[in-house]
Amino acid sequence: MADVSFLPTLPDSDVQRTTQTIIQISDPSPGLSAEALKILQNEILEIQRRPEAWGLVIPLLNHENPQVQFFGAHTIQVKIVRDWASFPENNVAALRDLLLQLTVHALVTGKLGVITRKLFVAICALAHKIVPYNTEQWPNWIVHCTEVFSRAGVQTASLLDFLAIVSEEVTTTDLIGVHKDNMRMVCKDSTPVVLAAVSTTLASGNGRPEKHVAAALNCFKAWLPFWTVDDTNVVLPALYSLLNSEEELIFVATSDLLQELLDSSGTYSKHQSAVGHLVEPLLVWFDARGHQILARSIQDGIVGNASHSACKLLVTLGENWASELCENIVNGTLMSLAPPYMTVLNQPPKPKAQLVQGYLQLTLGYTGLPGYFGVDEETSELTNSFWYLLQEALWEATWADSQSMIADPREVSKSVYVELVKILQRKCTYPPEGHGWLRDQVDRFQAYRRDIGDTLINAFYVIRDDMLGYFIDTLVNDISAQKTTGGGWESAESTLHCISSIQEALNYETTIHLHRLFNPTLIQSLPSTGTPRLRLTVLNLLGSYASWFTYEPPESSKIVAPAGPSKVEMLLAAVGYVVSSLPDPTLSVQAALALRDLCDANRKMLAPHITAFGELHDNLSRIPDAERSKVLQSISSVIEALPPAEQVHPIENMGRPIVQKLVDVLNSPNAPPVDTRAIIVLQLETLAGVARGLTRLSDDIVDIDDEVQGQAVVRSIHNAREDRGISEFREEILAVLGRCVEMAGHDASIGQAINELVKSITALPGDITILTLPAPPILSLICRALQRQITASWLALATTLFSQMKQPVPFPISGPPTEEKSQREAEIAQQYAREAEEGKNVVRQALSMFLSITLPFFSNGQKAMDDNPDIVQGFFSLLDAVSLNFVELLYELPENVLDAVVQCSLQSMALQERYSLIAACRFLAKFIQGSAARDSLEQQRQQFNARYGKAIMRTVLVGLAGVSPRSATPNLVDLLSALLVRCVSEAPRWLKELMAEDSLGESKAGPDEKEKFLKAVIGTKSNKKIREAANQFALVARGLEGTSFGYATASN
Amino acid sequence: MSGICRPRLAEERKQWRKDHPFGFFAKPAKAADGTMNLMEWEVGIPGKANTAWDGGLYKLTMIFPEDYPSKPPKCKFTPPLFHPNVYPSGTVCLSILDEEKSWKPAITIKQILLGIQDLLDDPNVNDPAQSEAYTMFKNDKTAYEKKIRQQARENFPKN
Repeated sequence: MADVSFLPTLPDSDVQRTTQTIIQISDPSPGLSAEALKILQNEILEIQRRPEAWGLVIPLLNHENPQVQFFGAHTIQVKIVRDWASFPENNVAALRDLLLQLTVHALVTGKLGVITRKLFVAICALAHKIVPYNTEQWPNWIVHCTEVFSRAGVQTASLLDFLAIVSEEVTTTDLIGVHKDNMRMVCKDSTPVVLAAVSTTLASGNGRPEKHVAAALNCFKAWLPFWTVDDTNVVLPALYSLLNSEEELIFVATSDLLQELLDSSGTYSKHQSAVGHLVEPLLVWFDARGHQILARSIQDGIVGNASHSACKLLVTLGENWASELCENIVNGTLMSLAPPYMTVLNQPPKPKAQLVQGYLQLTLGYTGLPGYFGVDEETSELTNSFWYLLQEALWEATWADSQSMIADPREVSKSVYVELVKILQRKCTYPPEGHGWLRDQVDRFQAYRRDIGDTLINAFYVIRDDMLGYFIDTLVNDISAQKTTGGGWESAESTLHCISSIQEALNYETTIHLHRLFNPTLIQSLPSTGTPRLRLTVLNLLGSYASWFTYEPPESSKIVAPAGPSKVEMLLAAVGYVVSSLPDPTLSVQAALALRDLCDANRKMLAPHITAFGELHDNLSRIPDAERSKVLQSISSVIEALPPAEQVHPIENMGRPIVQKLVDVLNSPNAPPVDTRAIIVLQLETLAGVARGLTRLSDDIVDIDDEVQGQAVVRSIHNAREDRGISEFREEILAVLGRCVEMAGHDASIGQAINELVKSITALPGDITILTLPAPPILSLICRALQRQITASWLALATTLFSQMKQPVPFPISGPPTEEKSQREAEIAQQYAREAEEGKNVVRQALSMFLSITLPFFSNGQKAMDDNPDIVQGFFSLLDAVSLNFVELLYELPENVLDAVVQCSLQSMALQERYSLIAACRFLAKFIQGSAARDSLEQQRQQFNARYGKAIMRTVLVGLAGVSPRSATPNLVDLLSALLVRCVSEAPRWLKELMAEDSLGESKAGPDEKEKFLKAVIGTKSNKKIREAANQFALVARGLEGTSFGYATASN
Repeated sequence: MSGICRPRLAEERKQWRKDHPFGFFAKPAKAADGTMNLMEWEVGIPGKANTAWDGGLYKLTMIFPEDYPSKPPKCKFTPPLFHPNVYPSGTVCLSILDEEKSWKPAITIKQILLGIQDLLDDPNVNDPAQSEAYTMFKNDKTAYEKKIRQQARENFPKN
């Protein structure tokens, strides 16, 4: 008997009360309220906390109720973990012996597993308190425990459970450094004992009770971090033998373990060792058993746990050893297994190629399991993670010609992928209508189809254009079969989905099959009513291939387009199909998106057919509201490809009804506000669509590389803009926009829609369209909106417009120098200068208005800034844009206004709110840099520096020293750099004075560090040096110097 | 650092293929010849069920710097998303993606994508990145939700 005298003895009444409480908690009577239960739970936890609770362990473990016994086991573990500091050191050995004895008793008396496992955890907890600090106090504790248990006749399964828990507890311990190493060392030293226990149990394999084998597998898995390759090899023959077990539990556990081994097979130091011990035996096993398992699943119509697990093992093997499979795909050499594996697997030797190809066939079999994924089976998707790796391995494989090659590896691998493609096409086919799937089944199937799409791309990289050819043949057959038999469209839909999925991988230059796909006869043979899924897929397909119609192969291309319909005819057929789907509410979104893609990508091809779009426009009322904007955008993108003068009337025809509707609704004060709002938003969005469509393609703009050409394009647009009708129309848009702002600009939806419209209907001078509105009236409109409500979105819009006011540099005129050319260049320069001055005047006025509205908002104090980081950011971004292009205007501001701007910046830089701080830093840095770049501003600049320079510098230093969040350091450094580099004569003085007189907030930097910083930054123009010195100063000032955290997180 | 980057991304890819949250996709970008660019991933994030984002699958590009995982990837919605914490360029503004804030090299791609999915329906009012969505979110939640639902419709997955 162990010594128990060190435990407190409790009166029976206390023990009884505790057991009663535990029973009440674990099996509460129906009358016990939740509150009463909570009180009891607190009471029991309170009891456990007391020092006397040690005395409860034995009586509770001896109680007949398992819940009480469990609480006894739990108590000893909790006391060891939590109250160890107060446990007398001279009683440690006695506690250890007692705990082991209690555990043995629990095991031999057959107490529940949950109780014995808790006691195992308690033993580990005790070992963690003793061994790391003094290994001699419990020498070789793991072996000691197993000896104690073995002597007492404890069952092997329990012993293995204990050992598994030991490893889990050691590997998840929160010990660190040498203490952790001590614990791991004991584990390492104990591996022979553990391995003996595991291998003995597994070697007798199927003869042992199932739970013993399962425990051995679990134990081996838990000890994986400690096994050497040799240890693993000892057990492998037994594992392969267990793979033949008819017991599902054993098979799955063995398969799981082998998967873990495969995933960590990188630990085999020699590649060939892993191949011989893992890859080859498994290939032989799959050859012998895998096909049977799959065949049984197919025959039974259900993939059981064992078959699912076999598939996981199959895929894990392929995922880790795809390159090995590639290497041997046509290798006729016989696979000779090492003797122990040959004995266990007992198979005649076969050529490696046969085993590898058999493996691939088996994987194809699982990929193509009968039925629908997510409904009839859940296994086929596992193989997706193998096929992409195999494709990549095939790409990297270099097969050296040798006699052992029995076929062309590329042909063999291609045939595998061809088969895969056929399978995947079948697997991604939806069932006929009326399948009654639940939403989550549909969702899963959709996600599965997307994954299949990815795998098809991998297959494409192996098969190339033949794959597209196959799909189109299949599609033609599907359509023909449907026309003949009148069956469903499911197979055709699936094929179209497959074609759609591989679009991103196709090379238009080398493919010839798309001419067949987009042949008007084929497109027109697809149904244009009913069959929503098929039509949806067709729409997606047409949208994804939109750029093909315009694609022109380079002259060097050897591919000759087949005879037949022209691309224009094909495009018109595609557009016709899309347009016919627009009125259908279930398809309208995809149809509108596809139309937008087709029109946008093929505007020049479609422009000669613009009249055909008139009908579409006339039938606009049949198209759901939400899609009208996209449809009109599509039409106007085609209009854009017409000569500007010809754009005028179609644009007016489209735009006027929209504006009229806006006017009507704004003139109907009695309409319900909700309806009014919806109508206004819709009209604004639709008008934005028209304006957006007119924006030229960036490719077209890039093509303009000469001022004359650029001017000619812009001039022809300007000429078209002078058309009376379109000028009036622009005026009408401006007027109605103004009314929208006045009446409803404060409404979030309408404000957003106005914002979107303004963005799409204003442009840089070079990007002007016939509809582009001039910036000045819009800026004044934004001012009106800001007067009603200051929002970041209005400020951002003004910023965009300010940036547009900057006149671009003229393109040079190409050609040799002539007098005429010089004269023309002078005229252009004058014109640009005049327009620049006009632009500046507009910004001057607008800036004054904006500041008069926004500055009072910030004068409400820091709270306004804290609460509105978006507005602070918007405000400084606007000033940023002014500094970049019109810095002189800031010096023209009245003194009190400029002062308010600077004070506002300094206040913002003192905020903890990072984004406001960064925005203010950016503005000031750009302002200082922009000022220094203008000689004409020298006098004003000096006055500004004299008044504010030192204050700005102080704010920067205080921020760097700790007031600002560290994440803002790079922005403060940028501003510091601007001050040092741009204010060369003043900045060093400010720095020196501030360092001498100022404590810089909570800075921990001493005189030496300050001096070092000054030396490093003064006189240098290197931003890099300034940044390094400032970062170092920030670390020192924040007390982070020398900390790994400080350096690891310092920004460079 | 670049020594760590590619093996880590290869491992991330393997783990993702093995186990990823339902409805998401993530894969390295590929050139036309099939060569893979591990440094740029194409990703899809589904909106959470029972939110205004439900039904949409939002496409995002993850661009990994050479010093990943010391530095975080740049995550950019393509096309840009209407969301208060998404910059007009599409770049996501999220603390775990900011090396100056909460980025840690141990953060996995799965955690990033789940973090962005959480952000969709739970914007951070302290990180305004896009004035339009931020203003609407701040001033009229109902109108904002309507706009988000419309966006979800237009991002319905094509499967």
